[in-house]
Amino acid sequence: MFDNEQSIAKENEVKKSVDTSIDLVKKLVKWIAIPIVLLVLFNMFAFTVKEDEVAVVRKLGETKKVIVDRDNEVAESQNDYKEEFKNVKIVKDKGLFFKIPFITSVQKETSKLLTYIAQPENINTYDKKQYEVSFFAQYEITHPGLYQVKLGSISKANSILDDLIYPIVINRINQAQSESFLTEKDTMYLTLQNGMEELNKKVAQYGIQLKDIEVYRTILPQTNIQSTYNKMKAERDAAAQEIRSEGKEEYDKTVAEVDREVTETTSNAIEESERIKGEADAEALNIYAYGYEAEVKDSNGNVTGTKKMNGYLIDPEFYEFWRSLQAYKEAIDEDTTIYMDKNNPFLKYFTN
Amino acid sequence: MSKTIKNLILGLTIIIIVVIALFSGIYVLDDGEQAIIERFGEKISIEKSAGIKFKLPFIDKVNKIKTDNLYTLQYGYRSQTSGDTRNPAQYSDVPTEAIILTNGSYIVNVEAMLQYRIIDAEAFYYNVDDPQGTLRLAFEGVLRRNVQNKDIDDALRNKGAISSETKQELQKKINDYGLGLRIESLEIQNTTLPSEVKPSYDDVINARNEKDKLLDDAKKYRNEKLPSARAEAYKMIEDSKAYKADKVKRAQGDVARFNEVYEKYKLAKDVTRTRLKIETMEEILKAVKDIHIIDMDSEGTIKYLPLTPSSAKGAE
Repeated sequence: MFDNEQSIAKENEVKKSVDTSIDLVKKLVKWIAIPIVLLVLFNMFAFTVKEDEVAVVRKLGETKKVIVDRDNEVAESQNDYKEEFKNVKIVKDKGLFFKIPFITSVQKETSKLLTYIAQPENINTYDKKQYEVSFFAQYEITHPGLYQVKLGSISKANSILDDLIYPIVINRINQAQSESFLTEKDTMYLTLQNGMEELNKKVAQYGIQLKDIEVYRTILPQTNIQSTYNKMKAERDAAAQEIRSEGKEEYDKTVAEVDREVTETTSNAIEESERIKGEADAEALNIYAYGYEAEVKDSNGNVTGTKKMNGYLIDPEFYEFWRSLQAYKEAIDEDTTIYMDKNNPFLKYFTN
Repeated sequence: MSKTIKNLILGLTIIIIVVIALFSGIYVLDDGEQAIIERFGEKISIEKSAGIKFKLPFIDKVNKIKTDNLYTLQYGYRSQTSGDTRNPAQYSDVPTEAIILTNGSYIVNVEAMLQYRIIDAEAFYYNVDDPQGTLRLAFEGVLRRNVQNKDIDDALRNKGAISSETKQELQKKINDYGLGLRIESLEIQNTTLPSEVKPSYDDVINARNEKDKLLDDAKKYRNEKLPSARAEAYKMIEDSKAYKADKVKRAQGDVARFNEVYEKYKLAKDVTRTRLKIETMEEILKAVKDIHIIDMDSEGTIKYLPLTPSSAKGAE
């Protein structure tokens, strides 16, 4: 009997604690579940579009709204490309939007600037020079509605761009001279920008717009690289050759000039000196023959007058006599042996 | 379960939730960071200054961008290892990038690099897909076209000019893209000739040096020969002048002496003649060592008398 009471009491106790535990769990679940439910409701009734996203809002499959960048200027005109879109609303805002669950579907794309890179292509310029050209384009999705219907993915977009951009770029390079293509960067830039405008008209229907087209790499086709090296070498070798022969030519010319001038100077000098010597000889002969006017100086060395010195012509015989005596004196020296005839007048007083 | 424990658990849970909420509403911004706050995807604000910041818990999202970091983009080469105090940094070439054309379709190898910073966090975060890739493509395009319009010698020498042209154009281009980056520096580090052609280019420099030396030698030749020849010529003429002066002087001297003697001769001809003869003989015989007197009149052997000691030895 006591047991029964005890067990019933225990039972009640357990029941009570279970109740309170259940209570607790209920409360906890309330606190956790409510936010979760709110979250789910939120996602059903609202959606966000980030600053770098654009979105297409459809009701039961029909495009109703496109949400684009605040500074988008082309979405309206692109809208005209699809008849069915004439009632589509273009919203230029980002952030929180509301939708009807299950009926409204939202599909988002990126609004960032995307890069299209073309495969390198061998292109000829107008003057038949070939280059391997790589170019890229920057584009963005400006009308996500059109984009999703016509393209739907980046790879499809790239594929369309392949088809459209190549001909325009190739065509423009074909029309340029190789020199212009390489060096006139402003001209090339303008012609590509011009091409881009043309392209934008063509891609408008796909809901995209190009922001830039650029050639980023221009090289020679692999087969031409070696021949270019050869050309460069040959040109330099020729230049070196020319410089060397110029040098030699200059040198030879200068040496010849100098030699000529030296010869001229020397022969002039010889001529002059011979002339002077000739004058000297003549003057000396003249003095010997006719004499000269000698200066007379006083004791202080001042010139007071002249005195005539006579040449040998005044008495040629005596001159001969006197001159011979000088000659004997000069010619005979200590090593000479003299044989004198005893009848020599000099010995006149010696022998008698 | 007792009521207190129940309340405790409940209270704890509430506290945990509140704390989580609080933490979600506070964030810290370091120096050199900017934060873009988004609410439901829409940009609400940009925080640029450092410190403790507040936002709506859970609802607001914080995106931090480092704006102080300097990023490097290498062109034509890549670092393999960075250097330390013992070993230099290792690089590997990227030939497809490095080969650039110049005017006339010549080829040079270019290595360049740029450094950039994020200065507009909002633009950087939102505007361009793959900012680094886009920057690299734009960089290559602008760099190449600024090398292509130069002559090869210009391209090899004027690294500085090409670098600043490229920097300016590239900055404009990425501004147009809205990249939100600022190029802090752009430099061509190396422009070299392909190794195959370099010897020929070096040879041109050698040829110039050789030419200069030859021209120098030619100048030296002229500077040696001409003055030397002129000096000789001058000497020759001076010598002949001296000869002339000498000859004239001598003639005058001779004539003057003749005149002296002649004056005396005129006064007494015979006497003077004889005197002169004797004077001459005297002088001669004084000087001569070997004198013999010969008797030509006697018949038979010639007798002669030596007058000086040396000839006496040989006397008969």
